[in-house]
Amino acid sequence: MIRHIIRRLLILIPTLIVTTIVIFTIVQMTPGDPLSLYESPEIKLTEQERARLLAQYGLDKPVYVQYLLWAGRFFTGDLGTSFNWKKPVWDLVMERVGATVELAGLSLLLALLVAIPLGTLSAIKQYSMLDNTVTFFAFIGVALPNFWFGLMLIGIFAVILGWLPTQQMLTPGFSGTGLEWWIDHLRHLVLPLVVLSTAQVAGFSRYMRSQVLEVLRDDYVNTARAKGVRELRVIGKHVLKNALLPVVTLLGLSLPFLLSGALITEQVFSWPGMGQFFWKAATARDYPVIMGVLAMISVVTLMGNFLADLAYAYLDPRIKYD
Amino acid sequence: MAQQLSTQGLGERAQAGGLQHRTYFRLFWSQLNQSPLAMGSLFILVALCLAAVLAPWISDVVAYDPKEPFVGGRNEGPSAAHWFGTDHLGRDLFSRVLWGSQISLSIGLMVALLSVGIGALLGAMSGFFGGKVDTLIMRFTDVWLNFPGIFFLIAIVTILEPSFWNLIWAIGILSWPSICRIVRANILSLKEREFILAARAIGAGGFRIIVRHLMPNTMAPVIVNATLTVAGAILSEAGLSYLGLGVQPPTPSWGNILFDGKPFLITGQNFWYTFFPGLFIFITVLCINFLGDGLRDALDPKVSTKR
Repeated sequence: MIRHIIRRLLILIPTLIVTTIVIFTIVQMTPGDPLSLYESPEIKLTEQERARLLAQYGLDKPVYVQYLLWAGRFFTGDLGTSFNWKKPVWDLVMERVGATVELAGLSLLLALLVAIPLGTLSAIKQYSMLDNTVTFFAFIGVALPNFWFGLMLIGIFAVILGWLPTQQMLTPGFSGTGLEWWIDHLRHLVLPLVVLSTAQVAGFSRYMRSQVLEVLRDDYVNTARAKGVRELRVIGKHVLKNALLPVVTLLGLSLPFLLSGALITEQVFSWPGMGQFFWKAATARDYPVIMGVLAMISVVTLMGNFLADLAYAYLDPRIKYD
Repeated sequence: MAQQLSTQGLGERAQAGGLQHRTYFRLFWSQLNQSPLAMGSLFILVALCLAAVLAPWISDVVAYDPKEPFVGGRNEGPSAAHWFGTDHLGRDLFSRVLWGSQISLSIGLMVALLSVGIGALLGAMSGFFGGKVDTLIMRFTDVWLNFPGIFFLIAIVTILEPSFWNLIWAIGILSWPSICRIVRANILSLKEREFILAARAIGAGGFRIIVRHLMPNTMAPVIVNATLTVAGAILSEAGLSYLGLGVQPPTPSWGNILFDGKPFLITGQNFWYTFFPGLFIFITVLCINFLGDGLRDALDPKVSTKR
């Protein structure tokens, strides 16, 4: 086990380096002048100011030195200063990461709570009415563009029916506290949560179904049945336990997908999280933020995969890693 | 000679017994025909492609110029004159959605071509040569799979300026890893088979073995995956356009009509503005996925289509 962890860690390091190089290269492809943000038709930079700014951002050094400097700062937690907000990128991220974690985390939880029973049921009753219905809706859920789904929900539940709010996390100017605050907040959370969960439910339930179908064919399930164990116990104890194992790995792998979905959902509902922040930064060409956020998200996904892999190895004693 | 004679005899007997000689394509077609969902989807997709190609003619004859303002009132609902209503500038939405399908469908197809190109090349090299080449390419693929798609697309597209070709290569460069993995896995198992040994025995080189013997045998899963890549690319393009980072106005695309229509949806002025372009994205992606599923069953002799 220890050897397995060390080996995975050793793979993680070059992956991290390549990832940061790719990010750095993408930002380097920028055509035009990185200092154009400081200029406008009225204000032109003098040669001296130009040189000072280039030196301040380290842009006067060769590219590989710039990369090493940036990577060095990144791995010590210094993400630089935003051009646009004139604040450290790290602080800006910290202000917004909570909203995204709340939305993405809850939607993942909701998706699993719906998808695991649904997938299991449709596997147990394969080709039944229920299974066909779930399959059909899974196809719809995967094909539904989340931005359009979100807009349609806004149109129906907020505009036409007037039941739910459409934008932000709280009603603007809301001053209630305690329970009132929570009710207002939850009302704002409902629609984005449904939108972000739908595609995940579709994906996870299909995966769960195929896993359960696979386990159901195993000999030990027959053995348990032959011993006279009740069906409910066979499913609950023998089948589910084994079918759920690979889901752990899937959780790690679905992180990029979840974050991408969260970005669009945040944009649809003006949810003030990382996605919206990143979009604003990108459209303003705020390079320190673009690089910092890309690198941070990549590190988080890599760590997610790493942890999922370890959890899988820990949970499944049948796997030997030496 | 004897072999040939006996198969000839077989063929005659088969024909006498009312059996037809079936090519691989015929076999595949009859399999696909058994799935009404896949056939229906194929029909809708062909119709959509035709509509996209004929968009200039259709909008000329039965509708309006997609960029011409005030052919109707602002933000009108669907009517006999404007089937999908009009937008905030009084442009005909049916015409705009129709022209928008050109962008979405062509980006979808081009991205699939690009990612099959990159994916098949890297996957074949990885699977065939093995060893260090394999490790290197697979590590690189892992890095790529870790990128949260839309964040990278936004970064690349904003840095390079959003345009038709930049969208294609940005989305394409992000969607090859799954094809690469599939090709590699297939080639890994294929290259141990006897017919490859036979090809080697008669002195075929590496390149010839890959192109003539291995690649044709990996076509089935690649076609299925390429189909799904088209769907993914259409979603990515629409998503980026929805964020205002796709093909720039006044050229219509399904995504940027949604982007333009959002404020009028929220204020309750025009529900149909965002309804129709999104519906087209949804139906296109749904049909491609159904078709992909049908193709998977039809192209894979191991999966029986009969349940």
